[in-house]
Amino acid sequence: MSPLAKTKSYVQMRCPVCGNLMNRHAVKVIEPRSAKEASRVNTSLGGVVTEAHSCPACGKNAWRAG
Amino acid sequence: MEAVFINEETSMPANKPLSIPVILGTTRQGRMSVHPARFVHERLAGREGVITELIDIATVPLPVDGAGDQIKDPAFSAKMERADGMVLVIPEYNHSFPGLLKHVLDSCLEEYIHKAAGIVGVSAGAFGGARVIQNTLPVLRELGLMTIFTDVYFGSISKVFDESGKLLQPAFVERVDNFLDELIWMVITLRHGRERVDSDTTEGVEGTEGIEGMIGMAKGGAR
Repeated sequence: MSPLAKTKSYVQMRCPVCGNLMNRHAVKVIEPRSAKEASRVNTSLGGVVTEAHSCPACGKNAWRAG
Repeated sequence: MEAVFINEETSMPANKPLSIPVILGTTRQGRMSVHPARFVHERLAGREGVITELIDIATVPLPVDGAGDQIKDPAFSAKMERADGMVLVIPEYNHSFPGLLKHVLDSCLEEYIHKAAGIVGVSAGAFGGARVIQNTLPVLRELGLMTIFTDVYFGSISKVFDESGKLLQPAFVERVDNFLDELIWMVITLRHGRERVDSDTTEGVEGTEGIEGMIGMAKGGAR
């Protein structure tokens, strides 16, 4: 399944500022920048999957491992 | 355009201004790029609904023997995280951008995703930084920034500003304002997208009903 697709287990990120549910607007594959990230490389995509999220209420931007 | 139009349907209240810093992309002493940077910052600061600041990369403390998270400056990172878009004022050095600007930009990554960037080129010669702008575009794209199609070219910079920073060519007022109009449109549009349009758009999210059908058709057509 594509990492872009939501799964039933997908949990929306909570805004660390106001607590609202955030919108996942991007899934970007990046080069690993550390040993920790290197251990999370998605071999089929060739990099580390990172999700970018924004809060519709307060505008806070955040990200997490995909 | 003196006021930023903010559509209520995008849920962007007036008390949530657009954050658009201006980055001065050189550390050299005697840099003439400081004058267009201050000028663009001043024009941007006059826009209603916009907050801005001039970020001088010479003030960003970064070691040169590391990269990314290892050396990230928390203050610069926080400014990029808060930003909705940015203006990069970049002098052309040997047809390209200053290496230290690249070093500063490379210290962040996630902070830039789906944010707007406009480029102001500066050169001592006549081309106005056209070559540095072209060479910067692929870098910004890889960082996740969305570039606009309007640039400002400050060529023969010593004829545009005097040593004190006084603007000698009034035509640049309209050129910069036109550039900022386009940038602000992109900033508003991308903020709406970040906050309202999910990357898995076939699922549909609140506020995207109007485009959901179009996206569904596009995805269906590609299968």
